[in-house]
Amino acid sequence: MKILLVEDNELNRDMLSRRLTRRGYEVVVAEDGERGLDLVRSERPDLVLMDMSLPGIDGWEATRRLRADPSIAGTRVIALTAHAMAGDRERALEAGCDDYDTKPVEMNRLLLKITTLLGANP
Amino acid sequence: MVKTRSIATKVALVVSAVVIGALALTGWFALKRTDAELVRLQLSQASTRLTTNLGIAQRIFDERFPGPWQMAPDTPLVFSAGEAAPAETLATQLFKGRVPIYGNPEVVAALVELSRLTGTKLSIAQRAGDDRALRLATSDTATVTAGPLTVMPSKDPGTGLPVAAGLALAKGSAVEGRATIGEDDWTLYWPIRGESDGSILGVFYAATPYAPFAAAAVAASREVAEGLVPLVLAIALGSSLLLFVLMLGMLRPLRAIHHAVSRLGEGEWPQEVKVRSRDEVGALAGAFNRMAADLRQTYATIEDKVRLRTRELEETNTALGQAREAAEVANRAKSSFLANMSHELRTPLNAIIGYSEILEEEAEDRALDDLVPDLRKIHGAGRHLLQLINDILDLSKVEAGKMDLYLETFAVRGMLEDVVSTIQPLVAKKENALVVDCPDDIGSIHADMTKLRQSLFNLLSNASKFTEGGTIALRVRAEEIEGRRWVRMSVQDSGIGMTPEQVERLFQPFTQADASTTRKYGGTGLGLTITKRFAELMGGTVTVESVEGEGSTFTLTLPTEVVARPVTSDHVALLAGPTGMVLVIDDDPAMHDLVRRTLEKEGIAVVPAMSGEEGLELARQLKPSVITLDVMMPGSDGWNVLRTLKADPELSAIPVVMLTIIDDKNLGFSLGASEYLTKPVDRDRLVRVVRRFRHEGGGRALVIDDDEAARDRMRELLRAESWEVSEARNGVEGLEALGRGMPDLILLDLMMPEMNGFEFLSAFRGREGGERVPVVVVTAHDLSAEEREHLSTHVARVFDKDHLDSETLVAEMKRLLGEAGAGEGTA
Repeated sequence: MKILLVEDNELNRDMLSRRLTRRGYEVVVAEDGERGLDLVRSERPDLVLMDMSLPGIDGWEATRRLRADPSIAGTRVIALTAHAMAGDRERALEAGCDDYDTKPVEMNRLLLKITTLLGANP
Repeated sequence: MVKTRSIATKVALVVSAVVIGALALTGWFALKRTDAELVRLQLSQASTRLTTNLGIAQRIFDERFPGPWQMAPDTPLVFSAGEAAPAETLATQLFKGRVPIYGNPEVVAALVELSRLTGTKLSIAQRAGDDRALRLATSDTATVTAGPLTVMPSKDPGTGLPVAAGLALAKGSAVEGRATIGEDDWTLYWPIRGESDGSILGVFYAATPYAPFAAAAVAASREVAEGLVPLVLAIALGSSLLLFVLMLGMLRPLRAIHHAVSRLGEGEWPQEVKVRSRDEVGALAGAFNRMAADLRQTYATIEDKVRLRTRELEETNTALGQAREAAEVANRAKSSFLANMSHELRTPLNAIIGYSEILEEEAEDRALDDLVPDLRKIHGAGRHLLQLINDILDLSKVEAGKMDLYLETFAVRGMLEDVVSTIQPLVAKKENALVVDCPDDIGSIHADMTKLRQSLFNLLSNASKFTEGGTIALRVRAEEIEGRRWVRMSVQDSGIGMTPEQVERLFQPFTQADASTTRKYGGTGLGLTITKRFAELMGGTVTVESVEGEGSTFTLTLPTEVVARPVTSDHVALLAGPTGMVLVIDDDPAMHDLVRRTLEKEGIAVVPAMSGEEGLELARQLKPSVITLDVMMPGSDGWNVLRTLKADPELSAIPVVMLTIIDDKNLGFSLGASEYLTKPVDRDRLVRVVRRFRHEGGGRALVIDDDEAARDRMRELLRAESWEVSEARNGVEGLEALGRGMPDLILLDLMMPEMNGFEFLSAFRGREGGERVPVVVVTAHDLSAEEREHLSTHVARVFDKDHLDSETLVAEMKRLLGEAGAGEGTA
């Protein structure tokens, strides 16, 4: 199972990728939305963990573009956001995300969401 | 302006007319006078001339006809106008003489000559025998006179009378009928006397014509008059002109004043009126100038003041607007700052938490077990820190009305242990001891765990902060109030405590007891505010009791089953307080706010309903202790809601307090309302009414006792049971206290100065409403059987002061209050 992690914060990127790798996932990383979309096209990940606050095109926009591209439109997306404000979840789902989780990541909760979406363990 | 000019003209014209009239009158009189004087002058001249002429004639006669002729008078003759009398007299005298006078041609010739010489008509008449005077000769009629005139002889030969020498009197030659005296002449008659006896022989008369003199006089006066006319006209014109100019001069200052007054009337400020004269006009101008100056000064002062006030007002408005704007901006900035700050803090914290988790996993994998506990501590502290940050964000959400509840069911004990282990280091820091008192069977609660944990943590950390080397007790109890189950968690410390004023400010955000507290004890000042907000969100309350220097007790009370309700910033639902719940049905949010503020202080939870429909639904759902109901609402109005409430068997028992601007008590009570209050709301009254209808808690007690220590004891006892206590030192003061509102119950001492308990009782029972209020006598006095008998009919209970059992007293009071409440028609 291949997961693309789009996250601009290096520490978070490193940390999350290491923990996912530890759990047996193949992880590719991108630091912004543009690069993320490129990698979705080239790497064909099973799932994208999309940070919403990104430089350049943000997570919402990247997700919208992903959904707009038929070749990659089927890719699963989980939005990650530090904003815990009411409505964030709705905004993420509206943009086309399949699920939503808040940062800091509760590893078990996130893993549960991932396996639920992918329908399988790594 | 026109008016003043016309006045000047009129005055000048009038004055001219008067002057001309006066001058004309004067002229006329002058003319008249002149005429008369002229006549007199002419007469005088005529007589002088005549006298002179006669003198000449005399001399000539004397030369030619020597004899006793005396033609000239001894004294100058004086004529007066119209004086004909001498002639008559003379003629009469002449007629009486019998001496004939004869004329002759020589005499006539002499007369003619004399006439010519003197310009005077000269005649001689002779006395005729028939007593008529006959003119014998006259200078201008000489030619027509018949017969010769002869100079009279000095002695008539026939009679022997002397006649003028040389005069021959011609007998019978006298001409009759011509001897009239002309109107135009002044004629001098002169007697011719006989030489011997001086008797009158005849008359000589000389006439001088009047006409030339009169004509001359007329001409002269005309000349004078003609000379006067231009003079008079000139004077009149000149004086008129002068007057006009003078008037103009006089009117100018008046005009200036008029002009100034007109301008003043039009709202302009005139220049100073320049009048230098010292007369009344000058005084008027001066007075006007002073008045104008004063007025201007006053006006300027007023204008200045108005301008100043306007500017101040504008500045205040601007400042207010700016302040409001600034406050709004600051508020937005605060929220935004808090949100950003939370985000910024959380990012590195995520890394700390995440890496500690990774390390923990790695350490376990690599069997580095001794590292695991420390890594867990890092992880736990990071988690807690994150929790705090989240709570700051939460508060800003609560403030913004965007806070949600995440309700779950969890064991109270587990949660407590969690909190205690977290707070332990903080408690230990100031050498405090933490005592946890919680029954084993406390069970679980359905609430927002995070928020409850945070609330307790806040209360405990607060207690730790303000206590040093003391004890902090956490007591947890399960309670049942009005059929609802509650968990009461109280945190009691033995710290510095607070003054009532500090307690008042306690729950305001960013506010601690005072500014110095922040410096000394640190902290954000958010803890208690968050706690209170969270408690309210969950339908609970936070109350505080504190004694300065002795410590504080904070009590958090939550329902065991918290109900989630949609929450907005202006519609905060508080599902039930520990000491009762009031449902406020009113479409005005301000009313909800007011009632909530008023009742929450009393520990009464307030649930708002914005419409009749919502109110009915909430009433069925929550079964509040009391409902307040507005009448004018959109949709179902208050009367309909009241009918529905009273028709529902499950709801009809709930007392309904009408709280409305419509004053229709009769309708309200007839539909079943328990009490009727009109807006604007009297908050004290609202509290009293709600408290009366609520079964728990105390009412209003009036303590009448002269012993201060006893009053203090009662007060403390009653306040602890939520009674509102007022005090009086004797019966008189007690009666006065009634004027401030009828209490629910009276505690009465008997032996008091001024008015004792017995006297008070009889006065009180006579008052309107006085018979319904229970009175409890608390006395140290040994009562006689008679007194006891008397009291038994008037008071509910008598307690012995010296052996007072406070629990019994309180229980009795509670019972009495319930009875009284029921007696007042609580449904």
